[in-house]
Parts: sequence; structure tokens; C-alpha cells
Amino acid sequence: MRTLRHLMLMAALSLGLAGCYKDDIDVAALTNNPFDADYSGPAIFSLDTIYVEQVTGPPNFLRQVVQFKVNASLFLAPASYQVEVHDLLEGTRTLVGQVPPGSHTLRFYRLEYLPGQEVCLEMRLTNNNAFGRPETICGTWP
Amino acid sequence: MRMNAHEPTTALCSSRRGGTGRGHPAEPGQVVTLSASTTGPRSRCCGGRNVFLCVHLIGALGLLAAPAIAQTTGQLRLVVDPGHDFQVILDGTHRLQERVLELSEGNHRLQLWAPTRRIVDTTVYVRAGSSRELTVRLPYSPEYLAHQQEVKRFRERLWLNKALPTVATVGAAAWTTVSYLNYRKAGRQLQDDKDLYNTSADPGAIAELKDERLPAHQDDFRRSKVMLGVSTGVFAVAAAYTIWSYRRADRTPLPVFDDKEKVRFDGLVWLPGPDGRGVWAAGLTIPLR
Repeated sequence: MRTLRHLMLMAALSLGLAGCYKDDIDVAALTNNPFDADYSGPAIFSLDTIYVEQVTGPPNFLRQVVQFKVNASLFLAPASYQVEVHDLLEGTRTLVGQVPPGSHTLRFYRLEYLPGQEVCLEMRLTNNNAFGRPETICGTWP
Repeated sequence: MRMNAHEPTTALCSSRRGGTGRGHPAEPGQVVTLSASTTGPRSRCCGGRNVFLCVHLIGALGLLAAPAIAQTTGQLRLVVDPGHDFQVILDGTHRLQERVLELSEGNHRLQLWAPTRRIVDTTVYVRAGSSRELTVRLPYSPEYLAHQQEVKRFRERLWLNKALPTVATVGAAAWTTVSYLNYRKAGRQLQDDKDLYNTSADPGAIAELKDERLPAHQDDFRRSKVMLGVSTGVFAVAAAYTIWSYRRADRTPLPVFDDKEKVRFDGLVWLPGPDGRGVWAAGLTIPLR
């Protein structure tokens, strides 16, 4: 009876200690935030469509539109953001915002183009002048 | 009046009312006091001029009514410290526990003893028809004083054997508590960092978190974890040692008092028999009044 009481006491203590146990954090395993430069999850950006649109002016002109989507379901929490688009063909960097706010379908405009030419854009999520992991999407101008 | 213990001494009493016996050397703490009062017709009438008439009157009264034994005994009242359980051996043969003794006239040897006390050996002269009081304070025996010292040391050692592990255990418990609080704080800090990582949409803040804050907080957490483990181990050992100490202390028997004076006192009524084997004498007192 006494031994049983001791065993129960030790079990209770063990359970109490186990309940107090706290896990350490593996920093290297923290790669699931799309805003992290070390993000290692699925692709954030996907090419939606590339098309040419007429801008009525004056002056009137044509421009090419690269419409892409941000996979917001990967976000760990709702967030607003911008996307930096790096035109690998021309070497320009452009910040693209959410228009309208809350939308996750973004558009990148380009004036100079050649029909049938492949274009690759490097994109990164950005906030406060800091950038996430770059991803590249490619498409062909119509 | 003071007397030496173990040495037969004689105390002579005064025949006057309220008188005391002569003094004898004594040890500190041992007190024997004698007081006597003479009563009866003889004391009341024998001091005047009618001595002749007095003697005849006494003779006539004696013949008429007074028993002869009443004329030859005196009363000795024992006032002994301790007063509740002392014993006395009268004339080396009778072991009594009476406070009032009716004794024949003459010298009587009294050996008084009580548990934990020394034997006081004294001789008292009892006058017939008188009532006397013998006041004795029995000193504690050296064995009892030594036993008391031993018990005191035992209790001090017992207290120390319990107190030190208890203090160590309480200290270890406090250390463990503080360590746990630090551990919990460090754990919560890590959890906050993890929550911040999960909610942040600022790549710069995330980078700073992963490069600086998280490693520092991880170091804190690991240190507190090690400290908690060490303190818990120390606490467990201290608690186990304390339990063991208490159980050992509870099992340790108290020093037993061996009353050698009692053995000596019991041996006082052993009388050698004619065949050399000896007999044990027991006293029986029946008060006849």
C-alpha cells in the first residue's frame, strides 16, 4: 500500500514535470513563412495571364500586362504586402502593390515588347524595404 | 543540617520543642534537617518543682491505661524531595515508602533513595514519645546528570540531523522554483518568438528574429533548462536525504537511563544468610492506630 502510494506520488510528480516541459525551437526549421527569405515551401507566385491592352490617352498606346497571382493561402497570418518585380530582360525593378487592397491578383506593366518573346520576371514579397525569397515566373508575349 | 551521602551519620535531636540536631559535613544540594518536639505528660510536668509527685503520677497513669509500647516509640516524619516516590530502608532491613514512621527509641539508620537520585544514608536518634521531622533533599545521581547531558546532546544531534537536510531541501526547492520560473520565462519568450515569426509579414523583422533574437533566447532557454535539471536533481537528492534522515532519526532510540543508584539501593536489603547464600529481605509496614 505504501509502495503504491509512493509510485502514485512519483507518477504525479512526473506528470507535473512533463506538463511543465517546454520545447526548444529549431531555427533552421522555421522556413514556412512566405515573407521569410529562407522560405522553403510551395511557390508563392504563379503566372495568371499575359496580354496587351490599349491605353486611351492622349496619347493612346499599347502596353503589355503580366497578370500574376500571390498564393495568399500560404501566409501564416493575413498580411498586406508589395511585390518587387525584377525584369530579368531589362534589368528593371518595380514595386507592384495590391490593387485593389486585399487583392492577391497583381499586374505588372511593360511598354517595350516583342511578340513571341519569352519574358522572365523575378518576384519577391516585400514590406519595409526588406524582401522575401525570390521566385521566377516566365511567359511568352503574345 | 547537612550530611554526607552513603556514609552513616548520626543526628542527635534536641529534647526541646523545635530544636534541631547537630550539623554534619554534607555535599552541595543534599540537605538533611532534623526538628523534634516532645509531647506527652512527662514533658508537660517534669520541669517543675513537683518532681516526686510527677513520677508517681506517671507511674499511676501507666498502670491504668497507657499501653507500654506507646511510651517506647517516637514518630518520625519524613519530608523528602522528591516527595512522591522516594523509598527508605530502615535499619538496613525494611524497605518502606512511608512518610511517617513509628520507631522505637534509639538510633535508626535510614537510607533514602528516589529514582534518578542518590542514596542518602543517615542515622537518626528517635526519642520515645516525641514527634520529629526529617527533611532531606536527595541530590541527583551523577549517572542521571550524565544521562541528561547525553539526552540533551542526543536531541541536539537529532535536531541537527533533521534541520540541516530540511534547510538544504528548502533551499533546493527555492532554487528549483526560481530555476523553473526562469525556464518558463525563457520558454514563453521562445514561444513569443515563434508566434512573432508566424504572424510577421516583415522580412526584415523575420531576419532579425532568426539571426539575433532567437539564438539569444535559445541560449537563455537552454541555460535555464540545464539549471532547472541540476536544481531539480539537487532537490530530489536533498528531499530523499531529508526523508531518510527523518526516518533514521525516528528509528534511533533515545539513550536509556541506567539507574545504578537503584541497583545499589536494591542491594542494600540483601542480607547474607548463615549458609552464605544470602536472602532478600522485604519490609512490610502495617500502621496500627
